[in-house]
Parts: sequence; C-alpha cells; structure tokens
Amino acid sequence: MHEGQTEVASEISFLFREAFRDASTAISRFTGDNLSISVEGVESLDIFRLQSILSLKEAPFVAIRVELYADLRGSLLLLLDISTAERIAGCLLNRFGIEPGEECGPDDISETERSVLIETTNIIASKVSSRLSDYLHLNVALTPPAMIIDMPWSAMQEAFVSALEDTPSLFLVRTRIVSADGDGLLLFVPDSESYHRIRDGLIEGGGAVSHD
Amino acid sequence: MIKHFVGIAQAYVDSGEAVFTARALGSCVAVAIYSPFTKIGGMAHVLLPGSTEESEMDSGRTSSRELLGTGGAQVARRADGAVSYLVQEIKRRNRMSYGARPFVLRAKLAGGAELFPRARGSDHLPVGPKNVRSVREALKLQNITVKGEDVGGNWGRNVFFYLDTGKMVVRKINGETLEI
Repeated sequence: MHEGQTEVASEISFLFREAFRDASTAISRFTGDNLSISVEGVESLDIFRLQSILSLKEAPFVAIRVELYADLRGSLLLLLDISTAERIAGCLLNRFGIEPGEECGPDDISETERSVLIETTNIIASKVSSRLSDYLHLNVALTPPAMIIDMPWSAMQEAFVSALEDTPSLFLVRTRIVSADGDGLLLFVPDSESYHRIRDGLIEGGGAVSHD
Repeated sequence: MIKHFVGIAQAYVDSGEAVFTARALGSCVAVAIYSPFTKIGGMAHVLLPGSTEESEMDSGRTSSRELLGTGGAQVARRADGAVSYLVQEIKRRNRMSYGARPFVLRAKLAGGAELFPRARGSDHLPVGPKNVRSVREALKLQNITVKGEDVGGNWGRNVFFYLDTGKMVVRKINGETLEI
C-alpha cells in the first residue's frame, strides 16, 4: 500500500459508514423499515487484489454504475448477486403492493425490479456524494445509474478502467443488506486527481472528518 | 498439460499442449499469438489501449523497461506492450528450439466489450472498442495475420486458448460457447 493510503482508507471508511447509514435511513423510510443496509468493512486495494476477489465469480451479478463528475471524478459500482437483488426489489415493491413483474429466468430480473434497484442505487450514490461533498467542500455531481447483468469482474473493467490507469488505489465497501439476507459490494474508484483531492481533504486538511 | 491463468495485464508464452485462460473479460482483450508449426505461442490479457512506453514515459512516473519485465507481471497492461512481449518471447523460444528456421505467426483475439450503455449524445469511444483497435494495429505492425476473433458486444467472456490446436474457445455469460 502506498504511503498515506492506510490513513486515507481509515478516514474514508468512516465517511462511507455514515453515507450508508444515511442511505439506510432513507430507504427504510421509503420501505417502512422493510430494508436496511449496513457496512461490514471498507478496504483500500489495487486492481490486482480486486481481481483475485472478483474474477472467480462467474455467476451473473447485477452491476449498477454511477459516475461522479464536477470537482471529483470517478465511478461508483454496486454489485449484487441476482437473488439478493431480487430480494431487495421484492422488499421495496411489497411495501407498495406491487407485483415484482413478469416471470424471469434465474439469471434475469424484471423491468419493475430493475427500476427499483436503480432507484435504490441512486439513493446510495447521492448519500455518498453528499458526504464527500460536505466533508471535502467540493462539488460532486452524479450521472443517472446504468445497470447491467454480467460477471462482476467484466463489469468492473469497463466501469473503472480509465480511472484505474493512474489511480493508486480504489475502495471496496462490503455491505450487508439485512432484511434481504444478502451481501453487496460497492466499489469507488476516483481518478488520480480526485484521489489526491480526497487524500488532501481527509488528511492534510486537518481532519475534516469528525469521528464524534 | 500446463494451464496458465492469464490475469489482467499479464502475458505468458509456452509450447506444446499448454492451455491459457483469461476469465471474465469485459472491456479487456485476450490476444493469443502462436506459431501453428512450431507450437510455440502465448496469450496476453490487455487492460488498456495504446502504448505503454508513450503513456508511462509521458507521465514521468516510470520507465517502460520497469514495466516490461520478464514473465507474467504487467507486461500486457497496454496493447502494444502485450503484442511486443509475446512476439519477442515466441521468437526467442523459436530460436532456441529451431535456430534460424523461418516461421509464421498467427493471432486470435476476444473481448473488448462495451457492457454499459453509452451516455446519450456521447461521441467518446469506450475503452473496449479502443482496446480491440489498438491490438489490431499492434498486430498489423508486426505483420501478424488475425485468424479469428470474437470481439465487441455487451457481454462478458471467459476465454480459453489451446496452443496445440490453435483453437480459442469463448464462453459467454449467457452460456453460449464459440470456437474460433
């Protein structure tokens, strides 16, 4: 790990936990406490370590990507196995008495479920960007989420390859989706300039993040 | 039979009945270069388009020599470095085994997908198609004929290259298997 990466990872870990707490609160309000998401851990790692985690997962995953622009550039990618994604969508749709949609194969999800998952990712991404923006005093804007179903490592390459070209590290957030009884992964890859802005904001900025 | 797992930015060369595997290719490209007569060849897992030397030297971060080490580690980060490494290593092994006898090289490639839909109005070429273009250009520079390819699309691929037969088997996420 590069100099300062451990410290950045520790600071950003706190930031992500807060962002997911915000997101979980928002989603719970939306679903009537049917769904909550907690952060199990945050790792700072390089692409080769990530490859060893993801490349052996050959079953299809739901991958939802949101890009960051303005003062911070990079991507967020939410990865969920199909059954967890279906359960998340089911929790949300049941709240409103909506049928999940037409029958799909085991490796696919309906259009209704797709819409709900995209909205869920939108909530998570907006909370992450708000936290980054508040703590670092930077403008962060988001693209609409884009969703695919494929092998997670395949999805990862395209989502992040331009940022990975010169980014020293990326961040892997391991989440637990409590009511859906499943796990999810959120990857955050800032481009090189943004990584250094985050590092400067979190460390050299004199501890902009309060752990109280 | 020797099996090589070719990870991202890696390249391996072997001979005989070796099998090379690249898993879950998305925008990355697997390029296999081989001599059908001497059965010496290898496969690279290309991460990025363009030139290793140019990009690394321009950024001033490291010299190309540091990246172009021997064997698997990061020799195939960019298309031209990957093709150069494979060609040089195959030629070296050919010289050792067969002396100055002339030989021809063939190539097969797979990958370079564009998984996520392009943003509306974007004229920016995604990295997958760029990778494919760069690999083709690098092969052309080396006068290597492409004998088969399965590139593009919007799906991930697992790729297996069998050196003794020169066959590349591509398994897609939907279960479809293709032999090229």
